[in-house]
Amino acid sequence: MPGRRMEEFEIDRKPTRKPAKQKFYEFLYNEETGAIMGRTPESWGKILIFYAIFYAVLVSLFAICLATFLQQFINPRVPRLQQDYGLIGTSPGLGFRPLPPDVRSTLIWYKGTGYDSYKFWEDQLIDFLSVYKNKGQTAGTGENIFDCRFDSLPPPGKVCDVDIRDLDPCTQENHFSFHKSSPCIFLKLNRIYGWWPDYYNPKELPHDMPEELQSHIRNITNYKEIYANMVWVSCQGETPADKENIGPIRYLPSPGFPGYFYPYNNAEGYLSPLVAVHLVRPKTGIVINIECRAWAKNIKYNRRDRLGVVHFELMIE
Amino acid sequence: MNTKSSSLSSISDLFRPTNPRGLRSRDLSSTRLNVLKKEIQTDAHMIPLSNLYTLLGTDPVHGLSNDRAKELLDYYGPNTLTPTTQFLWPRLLFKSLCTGFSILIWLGAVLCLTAYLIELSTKPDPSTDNLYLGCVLIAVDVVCGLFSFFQNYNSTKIMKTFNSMIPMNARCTRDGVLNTDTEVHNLVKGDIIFVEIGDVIPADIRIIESKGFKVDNSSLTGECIAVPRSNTDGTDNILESPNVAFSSALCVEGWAKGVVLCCGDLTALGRVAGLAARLQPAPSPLSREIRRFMRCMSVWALSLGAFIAGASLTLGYPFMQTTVFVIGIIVANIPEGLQPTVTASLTLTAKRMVAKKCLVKNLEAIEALGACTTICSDKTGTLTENKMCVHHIWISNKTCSVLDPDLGSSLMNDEAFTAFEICGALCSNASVSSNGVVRGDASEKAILDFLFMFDDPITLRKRYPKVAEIPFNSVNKYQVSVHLDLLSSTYLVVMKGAPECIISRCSTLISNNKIINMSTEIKEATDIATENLANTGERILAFADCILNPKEFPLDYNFDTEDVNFPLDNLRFLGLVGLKDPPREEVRYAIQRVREAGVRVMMVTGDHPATARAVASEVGIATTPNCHVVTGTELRNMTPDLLYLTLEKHYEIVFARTSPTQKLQIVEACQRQGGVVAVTGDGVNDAPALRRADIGISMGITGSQVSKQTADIILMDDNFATIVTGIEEGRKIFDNLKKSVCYILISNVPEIIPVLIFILCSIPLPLGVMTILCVDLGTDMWPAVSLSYEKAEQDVMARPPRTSDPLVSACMLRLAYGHLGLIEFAAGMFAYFIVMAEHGFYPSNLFGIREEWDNEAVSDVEDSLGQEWTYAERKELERACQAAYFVAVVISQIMNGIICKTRYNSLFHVGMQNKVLKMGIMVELIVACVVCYVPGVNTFFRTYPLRLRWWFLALPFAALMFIFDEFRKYCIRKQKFGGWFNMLTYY
Repeated sequence: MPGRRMEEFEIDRKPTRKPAKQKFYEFLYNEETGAIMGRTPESWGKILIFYAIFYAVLVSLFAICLATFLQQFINPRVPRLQQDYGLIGTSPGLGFRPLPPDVRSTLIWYKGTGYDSYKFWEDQLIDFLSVYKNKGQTAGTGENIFDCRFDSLPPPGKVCDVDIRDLDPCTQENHFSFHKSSPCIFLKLNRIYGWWPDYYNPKELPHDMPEELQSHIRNITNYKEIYANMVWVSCQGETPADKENIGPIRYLPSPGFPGYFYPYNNAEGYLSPLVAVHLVRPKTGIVINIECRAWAKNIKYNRRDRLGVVHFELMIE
Repeated sequence: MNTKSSSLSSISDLFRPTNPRGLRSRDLSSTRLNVLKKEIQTDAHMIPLSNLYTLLGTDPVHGLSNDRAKELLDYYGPNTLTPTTQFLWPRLLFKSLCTGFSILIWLGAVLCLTAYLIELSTKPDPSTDNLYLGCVLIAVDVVCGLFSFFQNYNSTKIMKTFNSMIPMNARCTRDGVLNTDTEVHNLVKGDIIFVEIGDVIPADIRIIESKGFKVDNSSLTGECIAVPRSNTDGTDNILESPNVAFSSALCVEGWAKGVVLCCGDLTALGRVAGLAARLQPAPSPLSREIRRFMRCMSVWALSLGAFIAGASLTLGYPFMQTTVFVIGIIVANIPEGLQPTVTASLTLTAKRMVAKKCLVKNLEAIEALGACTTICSDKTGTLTENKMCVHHIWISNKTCSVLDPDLGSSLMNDEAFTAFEICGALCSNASVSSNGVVRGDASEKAILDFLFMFDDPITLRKRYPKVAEIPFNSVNKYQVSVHLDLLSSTYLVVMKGAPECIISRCSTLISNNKIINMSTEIKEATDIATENLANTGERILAFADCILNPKEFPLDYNFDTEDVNFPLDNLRFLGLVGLKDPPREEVRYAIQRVREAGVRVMMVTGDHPATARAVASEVGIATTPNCHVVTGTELRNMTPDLLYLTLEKHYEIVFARTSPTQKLQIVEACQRQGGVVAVTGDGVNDAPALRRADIGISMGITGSQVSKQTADIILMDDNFATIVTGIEEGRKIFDNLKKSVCYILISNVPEIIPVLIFILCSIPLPLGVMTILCVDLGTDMWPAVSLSYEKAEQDVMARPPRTSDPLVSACMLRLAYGHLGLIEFAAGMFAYFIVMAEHGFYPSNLFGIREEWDNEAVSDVEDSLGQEWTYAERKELERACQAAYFVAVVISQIMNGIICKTRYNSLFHVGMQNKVLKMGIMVELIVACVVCYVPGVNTFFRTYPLRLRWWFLALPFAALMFIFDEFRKYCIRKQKFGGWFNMLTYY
C-alpha cells in the first residue's frame, strides 16, 4: 500500500550515547545517585557487613574444626601416624651438608684455593653445626644429656651427646679442610619417630657392602661385639671413573651412626648423630659423583628411587 | 526497462560457472546470497512476446539453433543448482578444536611440553610429570573438539534434495525439431519447451500457447492449488503473473508451450534453494551466551595467568616453576566440563522430546525454543490440515453450519437438499475407489466427503449415469454435466461453479420444498450469503440444476458439449457450499498457551489475505477484528525500516501472499528487533525462512523433504501443540542449565585458590592439576548433567520469554565464587591440614615450606616433630593430602549437587525425587573411589588410597553449605532483609 509512510509511526528517539570516558567517570562517581563504583555508600556498607558476617562464620567454623581436631587428636610431641602407619615409613633416608644454594642442585663446587670460593660452604656448615656446638642455649639441653655408650642406653627423656670436637680435621677451625682441597661432607640419618635400626650381624654382612667397610666391621666387632650395633655408612664414586677420582675416604668419628641414638622419641635436645666424610685426595678439575649409603637390615636400598642413599657431586677447581 | 534488463544480465553473470568477476570464492558466495535475498526484478513477463524473442535470440516455432544453445550453455552453465562452496572437513575440525576454552588448554599443553623438553635437554633423567600432563591436556582438547565437531558436521544435503525436484528430461524444440528427451541440465535461456499433464516444469517459462494448462505451484507458494496459466498479460509481480510457470511446478491439467526465461540458480526455485543452502542460521541464544561466558572466563584466566607469570618471574622464580604456576591457574580457571555438560543436557532433553513426537535435529534449538519471542507460522499444512472441508451450506435461504449436530434432521425432508445432494454427487470429477478413498480435486473431494455423511453418492451416480460433460475452465468458471435419470427416464443438467456465474444463469430457486422465482430480494439474499461466507475465508461454490423436458430431449438425444445444444440458462438454483481448509483441532488451544507464555504468534502465508485473516481469527492469532494484514505486494514496497516499525506497532500481524524471500525478510526483521524467532512451515517455500530462523520447525508428515532438511526441529505427528511442550522444555532446560553451570562453577573455586595460596603462602600444593581435571571431567560430570532432569520449579509457561536473563549472571558468579565455593575451599583445606597434621606437619609449620619441600636435592625436610622426610616420602604425603582435598571437594560437591537442585524452593519441599541425580551422586562417589584406590589409576592421577576417616572431614562444611543455602532460599522466598539475597544471589 503506497499510502503507508514512515510518518505514520512515532519514532522513538534513541537516547544519545555517552562517550566511554564519561561513562567511566560516571561509574567512579555518579552524581545523580551518589554511587561510587556502581554502588551507593549505603549499599557498600551493607555489602561489607554482609560479607564480614559470612566470612566470619566461615572462618570461625574452620578455626573451630581445626582447633578441635588438633586438641583432641594431635599430641604435640608424638606423631599420630608413626612409621609404617604413616607415609614416612621405616626406611630413613640420608642427608648431607653443606647444601648447594641452587634449587634441585646437589653439586658442591668451589675453587680450591680462594677463601671467597669456599666461604659459602664453610658458613653453611658452621650454621648447621651451631646447634651441636652451643648445646646450653637450646631449651632443656645440658641437663638431660646422658653419656651414652653401647652398653648403657639413655633412659627415657635423656639424649645422647654428639661431640663435634673430635672430628679433626673436619672442624670449623680447620675450615672443614676445604682450603686443602680435601673437603669434609657431613652425613646424617633422617629422624623417624620410634624407629629402631635392625643391625647387621657381623658374620652375615651383605655381599654388596664395600670390602673396606666389611673388614672394618670385622675388626671392630672382634674387639668388642656390641660395637656391631651401628648403622654403617659407606661412600663411593658412582661410576668406575668416579671411584678412581674420589681417592681415599676417611669417616669421622667412625663409619656409622651408633645404635644408642635410636629410637628417636622427640626428646628435648635430641641431636642426630653425624658422620663426617673426609675426602682426603679427590681429583680436582673434574666432577665426581659420590653416593653414600646407610647400612642396616631395615634400610631399603634402591639407587633409582634414591632409597637409603644420598647422592651428591663434588667439583674442586 | 534497460536498467532492469541489465541488472538481470549482471545477476546471471554472477551465477556463471567460471566466476567471471574473479571474486574470491567467499566473496562470490556472499554476493550471490545478497542477490538472492532481493526480490526478483524482471520485466520478461511484461514485455510483448516478440520483444522477448528478440531479447533472447530465439524463435517461437523453431526454437534456438543447436549451436547457439551450446554457446549459451557454455557461457551460463547448465540448468542445475550450484552447490555452495562447502568448508572442507579439516577446516571444520580445526575450528572445533580451537574454539572456546580449547585454545587455553592448548596453551597449557604447549607449556607442559615445553617444560618437559627443557628438562629433557638439561637433565639426565627428567620427571615425566609434565609430559603426562601435556598429553592428558591434549587428549582432553581432542576429545572435546571431536565431540563438537561431530555435533556440527551435519553436512548440508539441502541442495541435493532441491536438485531431485527438477525432472530429468524435457521436450524442447531446437532448430525446428522437437526433441522429447533433451536432458534438463542442457536447457538454456530462450529454449522453447513443451509441457503436458504430469510433467514437472524444468525451468521458468513464459507461456506462448496453452490449453487448459494448470500448474500446482506448491513448492513456491505452499498452497496445493492448481492455478491456471496461459498466454495473457503479465502482472507486476512475476510470482503471481498468470503467464509464467515456474521450475519444479507440476502440470496438473492441460498442456503448454513456453519459452525459457531463466535456468538453474536464477529460477524461482533456484533462488529458494540458493537461499536455503547459503544462509547461515543465526547463532542460537544459548551458544551466544556460552560463547560470551567463555570469552570472559578465558580473558580472566589468561590475565590471571599472565599476572602470576609476571609476578613469579619478577620474584625470581625459575621458568620451570612459573610454568607450573601458569598451567595450574589456567587449568583451574577453565570449567572444562561446561561444554560437555551443556551438550549432554541438551541431548537428554532432545531424547525426551523424541518420545513426545518431536525430533530435535539441532540440539541448541530446543533451548532456543524456550527463549523464543516470536513464532512465524505458515498457514497451510501447519495451522490448517491442508485438506478442504465443507464448512457451511446455504440452502432454502438459510445458512447452516456443517458442525451443527441437528443439521441432518433439519435437512432430511427438504427437497432442496435432495436436489443439492444429487447435484453435488454428479457434478464432480472426483472418483471413489472401492475401499472408500476419494480421489480428485480438493474441493470436489470435500463435497463428496460431506455427502457421505447423509447419503451414498455412489448409488446416486449409478442411478444417474453421465451422458455429457463440460469440464471446468477459467473462462467459464463453471462445470456442467448431463445425466440420465434411470427412474424417470429424463435428463438432468447439473452445474457447479463460482456463485456469480451460476446465479446469473438461474431463474428459479428451490426453497422449503417450493420452487420460487429469482426475485431481486432473493438475489440480494444470495449475494449477502456469499459475501458472509467469503468473509470467513471460505471458498464458495454454487449448485444449480435443470430437469430437461423429456419431450424436447428424448432418450436418444445427442448432447454436444462443443456446440452446446442444451440449456445452460434459466436453471434452478439449489444452494451454496462454503469450503474451507479447517484449522487443526489442537492449534487454537496451543496458540492460546503460547500467547499466554508471552510469545507472539504471527502468520506468514502464501494464501489470500481474506482466507489468512479468517484462519488467523479462528485459531486465535488475531483476537481483535483490526488485526493487521500485510500482503506481499505491500511488503514489496516497504523499506526495511517501515517493516520494522510495522512489526513494532502491530502486535497481531498476518502476512499474506508472501514469497519465500519475503518470508525470509520478515524473519530477519523480527530478528533485528532482538527477537528469537521460530518459524513453522512445511513447504519448500518456507525453506529459507526455516534456515534463517533461530528455530526452524517443520512438519514430519505433511512437510516436504526440503523443509525437513532445513529445519532444526521436526514435529513427527504434525501436532502444533508439541511446540508448546517444546517451549516448556526449552525454558525448563534453561533453568536447569543454570543449575548445572552454577554447580560446575562452584567447584572452580576450590581449584583456583589452592594454586594461589601455593604461590602466596608457599605451602605444598593442596590440589594437583591432574586432580583438577578429575573433578572437572570426572566426578562433576554426571551430577551436573543429572540436574537437567529436575522438574520445573515454577510454572515456566506463566512468564514471558527471557530477554535479559543470561545463563551466567553476576548473581550466580557471586554465589559460586563468593559464597559456596569458599565453603568448599575451606572444607578442602581442612582435610589437607588434617592429613598433614596426622603425619607430623602441623599447619603453622607448613607456611613457607614450599621451597624446601619441592626441592629434589633436599632429602631431609623436618616436620613439626623433628622427623625428617626424604623427597619421595614428601611427595607421597603431598599426594595423600591432595587426595584428601579432592575427596573433600567431592563430598562437598555432592552436597552442592543437592543444593543446586533448586534455585527458589526449599529442598524439604522439593525432596530427592530425581533418580538420575541420586545415581549421579553414587557414580561421583564411585569415580572418586576408583581414582583414589585402584592401583595404577591413583598413580596416574597422583592420588592416594585414603584412610576411611579422611572421607568425613568435609562433613561439617557440607552441613554449613546446606544450612546457608536453605537460609538463603528462605530469605529469597520471603524477601527478607529487603530482598537482599534476591538482589545478591538469586540467579
